[in-house]
Amino acid sequence: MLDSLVFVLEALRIHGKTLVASPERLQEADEDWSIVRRVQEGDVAAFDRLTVKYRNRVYGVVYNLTSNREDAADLTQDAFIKAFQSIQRFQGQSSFFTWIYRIAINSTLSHLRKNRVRSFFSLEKIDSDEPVSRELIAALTDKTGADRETFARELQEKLNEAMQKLSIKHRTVVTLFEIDGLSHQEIAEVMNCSVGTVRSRLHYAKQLLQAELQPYLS
Amino acid sequence: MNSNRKARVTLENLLRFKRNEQPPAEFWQQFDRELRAKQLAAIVARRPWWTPLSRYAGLVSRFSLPLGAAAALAVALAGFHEYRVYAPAPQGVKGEEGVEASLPDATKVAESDSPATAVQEDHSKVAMASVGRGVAAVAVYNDTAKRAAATPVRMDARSLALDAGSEAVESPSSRSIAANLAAAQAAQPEVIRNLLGLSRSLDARMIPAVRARAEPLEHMSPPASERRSRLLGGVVPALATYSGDAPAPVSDRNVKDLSDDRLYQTISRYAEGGDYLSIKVKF
Repeated sequence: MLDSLVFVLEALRIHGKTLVASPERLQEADEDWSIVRRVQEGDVAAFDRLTVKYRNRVYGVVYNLTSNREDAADLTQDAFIKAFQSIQRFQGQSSFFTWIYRIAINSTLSHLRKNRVRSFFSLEKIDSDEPVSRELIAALTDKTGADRETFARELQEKLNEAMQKLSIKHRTVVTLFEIDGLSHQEIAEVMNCSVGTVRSRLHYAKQLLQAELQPYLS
Repeated sequence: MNSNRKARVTLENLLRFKRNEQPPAEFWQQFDRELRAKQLAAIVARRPWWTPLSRYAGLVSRFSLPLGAAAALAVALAGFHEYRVYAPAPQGVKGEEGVEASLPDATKVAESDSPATAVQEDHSKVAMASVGRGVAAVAVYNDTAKRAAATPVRMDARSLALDAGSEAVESPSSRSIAANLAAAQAAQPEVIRNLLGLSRSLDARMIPAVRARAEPLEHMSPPASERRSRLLGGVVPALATYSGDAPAPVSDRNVKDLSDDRLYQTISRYAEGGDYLSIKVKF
């Protein structure tokens, strides 16, 4: 009983607004906080550990928001540079993961607002050998391997087109929840809104996506 | 069989398909190089001066309401203070008594050691008097002779102050001029006295010259008067002294007194010759 209370208090202390956090996330936040303290004390090379740790996830979110690999790379780098420049102001009120996500998404949203009319896709290659992709493609078609790759490419383009038809906020919620696997609470912290707002946006975005991707659904 | 497989395809499955869009390993190598270069550039680059201030932006935004209220209150108090300083005194205070009451005590001021110290000590008093009551022109000396010598200047300053006080509205510029005049005459009384005395003597010398220059015009007679004087010179003796150099003035009253009958009666004979003209007149 006492241990659970200490755990809750520790979660409140470390994560500030984060009221629900798994032990893995808490441990991860503690490790990140110790690295951040080293960077704040002058160990610039320690920041590379944070970069390597979160660059994949940050890049994935930015890429799914922009559907452009060059823009995603630039925006991800800019997010890490901004975090590095502002590392002295980071007080541990939230986890470093939430903080870098928020920086990246704000930069991406600002970029998308400035380039609304741009609809140029430069997509990453899908790993067709990955089990999930293979099962999905197999479920959608019974054709040969060569045709499967073509079909996978077509499906990828359709998915990105459908995502780009969403508004920026709805696209962000779908990306963070369905693709990146964040919880509603974490999305609310990152987007600085309520959990109810996150749920509402997610529901509306799914309705739109289902309408767009109806030929691929059962 | 195929329809059963398609039945399991959901939107979540399709979106999960996007997770497999991953860049190759070479991409991350280039990504790290570019990030390292940008990081070094960020370290070397000179940041703007307001960057440290951004740390306090959160604090300011957190207490924006009390800080804004405090700033508004400070501005209001400062404005009220300025309004009181420059507001004109009530009408009843204006006048000689009000001015006398506002002047510093000369005997008290005369206890100062030197004019310079008096200036330093009383400058604030003078300034405050000028600001508070609109009267500033007071010269302060402990030496009686110097005080006597400076009396005209002092009176000028007082008169200036009285003039300023007699008017219902006083401007800040008039008060500042009076204060400057008082300070100047306190610092360099001889210069100010000579300057004002010179201007007076200059005015006294200039007035007669202006009048003398205006007299010839006033005494010039019109051509009609000269002609009348010439024709009537024989009839009226006073007019016979006409000369071209100094024309005698002929008044209209003399001409009116001489009627036409008398004029023809008095002229008894009129003769003219080759080079002469004679007129005989009876008296």
